[in-house]
Amino acid sequence: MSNFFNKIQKKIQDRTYIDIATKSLQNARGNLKYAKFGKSIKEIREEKNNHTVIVGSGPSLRKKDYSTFLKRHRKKFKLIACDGSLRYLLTKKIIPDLVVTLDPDNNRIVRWFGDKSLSKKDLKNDDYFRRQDLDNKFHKEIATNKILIKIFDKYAPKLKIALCTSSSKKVVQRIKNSKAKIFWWNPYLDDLKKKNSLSRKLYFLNKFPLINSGGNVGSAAWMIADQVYNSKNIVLLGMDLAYYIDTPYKSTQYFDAISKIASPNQYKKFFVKLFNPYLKRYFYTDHVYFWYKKCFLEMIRNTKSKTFNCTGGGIVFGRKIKWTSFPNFCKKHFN
Amino acid sequence: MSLIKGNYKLKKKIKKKKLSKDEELELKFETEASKRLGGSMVYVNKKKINWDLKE
Repeated sequence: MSNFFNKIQKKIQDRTYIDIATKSLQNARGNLKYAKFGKSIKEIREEKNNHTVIVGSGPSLRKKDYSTFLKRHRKKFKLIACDGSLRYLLTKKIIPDLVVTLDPDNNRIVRWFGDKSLSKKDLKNDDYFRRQDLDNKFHKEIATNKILIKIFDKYAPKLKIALCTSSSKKVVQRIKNSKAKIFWWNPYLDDLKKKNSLSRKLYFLNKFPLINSGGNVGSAAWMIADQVYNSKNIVLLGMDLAYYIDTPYKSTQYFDAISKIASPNQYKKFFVKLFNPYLKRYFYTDHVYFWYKKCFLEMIRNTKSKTFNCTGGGIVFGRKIKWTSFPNFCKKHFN
Repeated sequence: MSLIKGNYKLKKKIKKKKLSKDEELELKFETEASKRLGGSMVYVNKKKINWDLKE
């Protein structure tokens, strides 16, 4: 790992705090008028659960496609979907018990639910969905968006959404109007003991529980499985936090940020190649995903639950994570 | 309130430290790129969940 990569991934927390934490608090203030359309996430708290499967939207989700196993054993586990995996699940008629969303971005996140106001101008302003590696179907933006609007609206009355108060107005309105059930939670933005703590301000704004999100929707889903569902075993699917080695840089998640400040011959400085010892193959990751992985390992360090990574790709391995395949997990625990 | 101002000239010219390409990129990262990380929060707390603000 280069010295440069090491330095910047350590700076992410400090550098993003002002911009993102402030935006999150602003969104939460704006969302206050919608609070009455949902309940606190406390309402779905459970004493005990055996198994929870978390479905992230990493590229392995489609490559491995464990939908047959998910359907076959569906009644034997709780299923938490990250927002980006919703299209995959619903088109296969797999209904999650809970959908998690948290990112405060104004325009992108609503697309995972089908954006009713999507215009050609929006497509011109942002090429994210055309270039991203998570779900190729979104490369055909208008067509997929139309289908997703229909699918989400159809299944919405059966869905529960763990909606972060920092979500954008567009996301909140889309979910509210869809008739899905809303369960609110606040993200930890900073230390509660800090003078003028934003987390404290956030709590007193709406009194919803503060959840340590780990910076991304996959980690937040894990935290909900662990602390809200009190699951004994937590299974990860589609949680890569990495790219397959043949993925072009332009398809990576933060390429727009990188390309704005670096020249093409500097792109490689923002990435690192890592060997997955379980799969005996290399993946590569960027400074943000690398940071998320470090945070995630920190989050799961002191917990009673067991985490099984059945993703089949990526770099989420380390102490306290058992690496196995989803068919093997099902064979051992569901038969 | 009085203002202290320098009233002398240095004989030696002070050269600005030339940044290496990595340092320049790091500086750009700090001022620009961190604002465009897709919007996810990156604060991690040791406490997992706080139901009612009991610390």
